[in-house]
Amino acid sequence: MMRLAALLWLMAVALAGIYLLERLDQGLHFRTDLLALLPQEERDPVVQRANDVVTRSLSRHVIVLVGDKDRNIARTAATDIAHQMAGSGLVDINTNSFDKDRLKQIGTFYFPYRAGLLADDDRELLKTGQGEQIATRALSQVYGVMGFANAKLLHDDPFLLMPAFLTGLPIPLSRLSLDEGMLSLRDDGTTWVLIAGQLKGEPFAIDVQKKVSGNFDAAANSQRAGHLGLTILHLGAVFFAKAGAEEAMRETTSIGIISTAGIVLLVMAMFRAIRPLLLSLLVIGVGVMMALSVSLWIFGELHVGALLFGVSLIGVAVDYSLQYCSEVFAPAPGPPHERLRRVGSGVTLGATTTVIGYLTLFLAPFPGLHQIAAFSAVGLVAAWITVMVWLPFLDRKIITLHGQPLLSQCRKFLDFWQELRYRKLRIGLFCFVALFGIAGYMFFHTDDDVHRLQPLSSGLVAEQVRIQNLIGASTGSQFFLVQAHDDETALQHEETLVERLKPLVASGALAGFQAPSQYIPSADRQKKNRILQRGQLYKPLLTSQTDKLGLQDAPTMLDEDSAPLTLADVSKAGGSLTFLSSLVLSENDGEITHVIALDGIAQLDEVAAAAAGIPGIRFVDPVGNFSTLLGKYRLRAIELLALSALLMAPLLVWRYGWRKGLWIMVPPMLAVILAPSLRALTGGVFTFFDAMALVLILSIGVDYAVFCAETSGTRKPVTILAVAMAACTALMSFGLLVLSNVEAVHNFGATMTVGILLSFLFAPMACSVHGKDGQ
Amino acid sequence: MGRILFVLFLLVLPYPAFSAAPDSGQIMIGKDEVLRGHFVEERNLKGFNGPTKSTGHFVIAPERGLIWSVEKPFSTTTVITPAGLMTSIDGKKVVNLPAQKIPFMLHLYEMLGGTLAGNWQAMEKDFTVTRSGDTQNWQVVLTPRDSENPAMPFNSITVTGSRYVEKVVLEKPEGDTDTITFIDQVAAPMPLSAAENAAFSSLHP
Repeated sequence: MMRLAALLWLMAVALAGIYLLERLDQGLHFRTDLLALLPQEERDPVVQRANDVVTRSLSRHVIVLVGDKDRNIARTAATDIAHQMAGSGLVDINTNSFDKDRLKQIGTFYFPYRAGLLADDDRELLKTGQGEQIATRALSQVYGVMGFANAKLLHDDPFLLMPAFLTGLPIPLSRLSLDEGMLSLRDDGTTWVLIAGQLKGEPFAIDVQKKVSGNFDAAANSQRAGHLGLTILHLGAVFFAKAGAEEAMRETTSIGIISTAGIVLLVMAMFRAIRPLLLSLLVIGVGVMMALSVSLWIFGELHVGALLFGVSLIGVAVDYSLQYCSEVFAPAPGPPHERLRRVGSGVTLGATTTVIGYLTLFLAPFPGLHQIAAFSAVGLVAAWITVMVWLPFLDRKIITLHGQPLLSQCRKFLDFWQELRYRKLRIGLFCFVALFGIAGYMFFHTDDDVHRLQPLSSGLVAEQVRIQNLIGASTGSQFFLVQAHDDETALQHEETLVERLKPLVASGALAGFQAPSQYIPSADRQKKNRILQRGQLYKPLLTSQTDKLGLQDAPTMLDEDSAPLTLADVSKAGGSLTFLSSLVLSENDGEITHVIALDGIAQLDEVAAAAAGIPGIRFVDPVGNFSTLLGKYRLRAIELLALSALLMAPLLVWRYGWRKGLWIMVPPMLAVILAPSLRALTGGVFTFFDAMALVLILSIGVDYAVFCAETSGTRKPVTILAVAMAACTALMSFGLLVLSNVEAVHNFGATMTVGILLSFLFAPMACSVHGKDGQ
Repeated sequence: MGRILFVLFLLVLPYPAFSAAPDSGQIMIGKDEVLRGHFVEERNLKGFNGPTKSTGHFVIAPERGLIWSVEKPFSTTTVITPAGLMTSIDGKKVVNLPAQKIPFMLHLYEMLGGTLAGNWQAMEKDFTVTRSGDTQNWQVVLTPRDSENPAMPFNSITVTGSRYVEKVVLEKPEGDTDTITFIDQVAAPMPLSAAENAAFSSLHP
């Protein structure tokens, strides 16, 4: 029977191994964007869709600034870099299209609709009856230094309103201007040339990141080598993601190595034999291999963060083999099957409660947590099966005596919890712990800032700040969402908002914005513009303007009956207004959705408040929303924790009865309650990730308590020794996450460390249950 | 805009240097000098009744910038400094462009600075330069090397002069011509008048 089970398990493991090899052969694909670990916001599909479009467009931006004191060097270097980046086929360079043809295209596109188009300033002048000033300005342009003396243009536009409208169009990246076909700016004696592009692939796929970064680095380095004074700055989610992925990979590797080495050393030192180590490694290996294989099969791909947590599971998987191997220290070890029989119930019960604890992670709607839950549950079950069906066959009887000093230490630890003479000390400890617990909760506070999720490379952050200062825009993720039943209504509402945003730009609360209505005014606005142009300019001033201009063909009266410009006409612009497609989202169920992009928000509240009272417009702050969401899920995690405890309790009650079953829950619950408080005392903030750590602490704590409850008599010190080793390995795997540079992971590790120590400290309380029964 | 900047730029070039004369290299005005004068601009433009003509005065201070004041037919003043460009009508600003918005102008400034320092290559980069005459009566013809460059929409620029630049003729691809004649030019040592100072300072942030 046992042999059949071992054989079946061998087949299952072999099957999983073959699948994994096959996947490795295809090349493993790991996701790296930590935001992908967050749940899809299911409440509002429209906001979500707009969010996706805006975020996707933002995350694909690649910006490179090439600066040099010598304008020509900057321009040549920028041209070469742009050429090389475009040549890779990974990036569409869109600054290349900023040639005169594009400007001509925009001019040609707008010109037929000029009757309804007015620059904001000109509209103000006409509204206040200062048409004369516009007429004089046109004449000064003809006769003055600017020299706009184009007879054909003046014939069609005698007041030169179109040049004013075109130069008044909002240009993202406000400090840049066109210098011989290249977007450039001058700052402190240096000419900066902009290269902007859109990534063709997914910025969060590791292979894309590697190729794009490698291509850019090669291009930049060859330019730097040629010109020593050259400065090249770059910005883009792809570069941040690459730095983040490298950091995560480096951490996974280094934490994994330290953790494994620590566990190996510990096991070797404890057993003074190679076999327990090999057995433990087999258990870990099978656990991780099965976890990886099954997770890949379920999810298709894995997130690098799930992998990071998955590596930590090595520590928990080793607990079961340690429980088994430690039985050699028992007074009468017996043959392998005998030893397994003794620890079997404890290991099984522990594994069951832990799997219950991990599986509750499935209830959080975070895709990444699902991966972690599956990874850990599969790994644990696989490790448990390996212990139960393989280890006795691979083990042989050994006699050890060197464990005695350690066992006597364990006995002393056990005595502290069981001997009457330590009663006062125990009460003292509880008072001490209660005091610290209460004190800690006075310092307790929470923090849900989503920025904790992504480790940002400080060098890249500095470049980002410099680029934003230079080009006069920040790559903010906030925007206004405009919804209406038709484009005209949406455009009119936008115009109301634009009027409110302009003073904010003037006061510096906002650096700039781009609304579809600025490019395509509403039909209503165009109608009013026609009335203004006719009433304030053409009727009173056309005759005198014609005289003063001295044109051979006198300008004609404004054509008032031509059709107004609409969003549907944008396709005629010959691709020169393609950026509008990121502001005008496709129609969905008769609902129109527009986006107003915002640059450089300095006063978030003032900007957000600008939309107040305008129907269908709302301020969207994805980062802020994510933070709010993290807060919600922090509470959700606490609920999951309570649920975990509730789900574990019936199992324990079934095995031990009401009173004893619940008593076993006390040590882990103490750890769960005290860990956040002690963390708070050391200045830690409580995040969603600390809450998730608590879920695991509960599982691990119940494990330890169950191991203690399942033991009896002379085996007690042996069990305590095994639990101590389990705690050490857990500290080495989970606790080492403290070393992570990702704040979220660091928090997780810190809470785990405190929780594991507390779980171990209180675990022997559970021993008394069986102890009393035995007496 | 590039057109007139070019003219202003040509005004202060050390023209004798372009000439074949052996005593070339003399600089028209020193760094602490101001060149003041009047101009007549006559343009033959397609589609207009006869040539359009404007007159006015100008001030060039190498360290500060340029003031171009049209008096007739309309009074408008344009001030150009390293900080940018500003046009006003009756003292009211109608155009205001900070320098970083017009990099081409700064490019010209660099060329100007380079040329004043004796760096003739600065001109050779963008133009084919043909020189003739002597120091008393010289002529320079500039032909853009890159005829596609939108910032230099000229077929040719012909500059004639003696002590100072006297006449600039610009020919455009459409057949339009622009002739600027400079008269009554006087170089004087600094300081600037209060009004000139104010005009230059108005552009500084």
